[in-house]
Amino acid sequence: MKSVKLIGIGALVGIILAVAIYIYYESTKGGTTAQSAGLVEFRPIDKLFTSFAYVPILDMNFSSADISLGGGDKTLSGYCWRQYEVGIGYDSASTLFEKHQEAACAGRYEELPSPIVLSTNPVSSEAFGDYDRAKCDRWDKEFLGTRRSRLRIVAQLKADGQWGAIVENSRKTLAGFIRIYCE
Amino acid sequence: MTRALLAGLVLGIALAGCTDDETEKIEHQIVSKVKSDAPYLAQLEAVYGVVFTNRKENMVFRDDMYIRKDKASVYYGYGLEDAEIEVVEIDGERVLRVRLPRPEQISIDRQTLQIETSSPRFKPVDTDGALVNVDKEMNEHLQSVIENYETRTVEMTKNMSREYFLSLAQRYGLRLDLKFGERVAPPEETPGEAAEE
Repeated sequence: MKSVKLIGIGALVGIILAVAIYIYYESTKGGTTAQSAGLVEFRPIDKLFTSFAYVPILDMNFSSADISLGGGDKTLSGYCWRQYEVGIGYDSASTLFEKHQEAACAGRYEELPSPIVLSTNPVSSEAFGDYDRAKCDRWDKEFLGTRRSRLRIVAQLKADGQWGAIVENSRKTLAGFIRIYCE
Repeated sequence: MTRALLAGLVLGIALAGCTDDETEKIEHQIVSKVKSDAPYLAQLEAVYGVVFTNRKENMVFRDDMYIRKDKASVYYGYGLEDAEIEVVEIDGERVLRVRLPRPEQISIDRQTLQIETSSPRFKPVDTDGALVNVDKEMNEHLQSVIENYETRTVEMTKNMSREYFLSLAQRYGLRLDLKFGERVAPPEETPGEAAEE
């Protein structure tokens, strides 16, 4: 009877050991990446880029309040960090000529429109903790006509005090471009 | 875009991420900064389809997979600081005189069209098991593919520009005088100093 017990315990230990080794093995196992990129089409455009910025998006997940820490403190449980190269300026520059030629030629910069974000390119991204990778990627997915990342980028530029100077510089550049054709 | 002027840099904070023995010092700028205020006129958009897949085979449980499909728009055009665009009068005729440098890549806009994963928890890993910086990998791969199309896109951009400035000249009743330069005009330099492109 004693030997059956020992065999049983031995088998149990063996199984636990096997599971532990498997879990360790899987956690260090590597993956394979494959990529492809191909040209789809060319399009004529007419965009005037007036400014370029380097903007981060940092979105964080917090776990619910930990009572042992006093109840009020949340702890960081995951984050998504994305770094963007942003192009700012005016779309359809030539159509702006007709609308704003008079103001530009008279030097009334304040009447010129504010620039918009023309391009955003995520050059780096990290999802860690309980923040899902796919959820982190969805910042750049089109939803209801816009991308969440675009809205956040403009908000970030405003919060960092950069937007005002960008608008002023862009208006001057646009005016300079229109003034070529002033009488 | 390599002429980066840093304006209005407020804070640079270094975050050190030490989760394991392989300590990586990660320096991130967590505020935005203006890289450049030089103007560029973009006249051609080259659209690329980009696909990124990552898979991890598991012994007992089902394999992990991650697929991402992006659309990238690459904008080509000219740095206006190296361009001359002016209206001049020659023999009583008003002429739109345009001198443009060689077309170059100005900016990339990339958006995600589709993401599919085998499990929400799966994060792509490289062959050593380390987390993959998906967007960095996609961006680098895209850049190398773009280079293969360089000659074609440069020619297409020039064609777009000819049409653009022609219609602009016609709108204002001007004659067009358009030339493309292969090299950017070098600044005044001392003799013996090589002009580098």
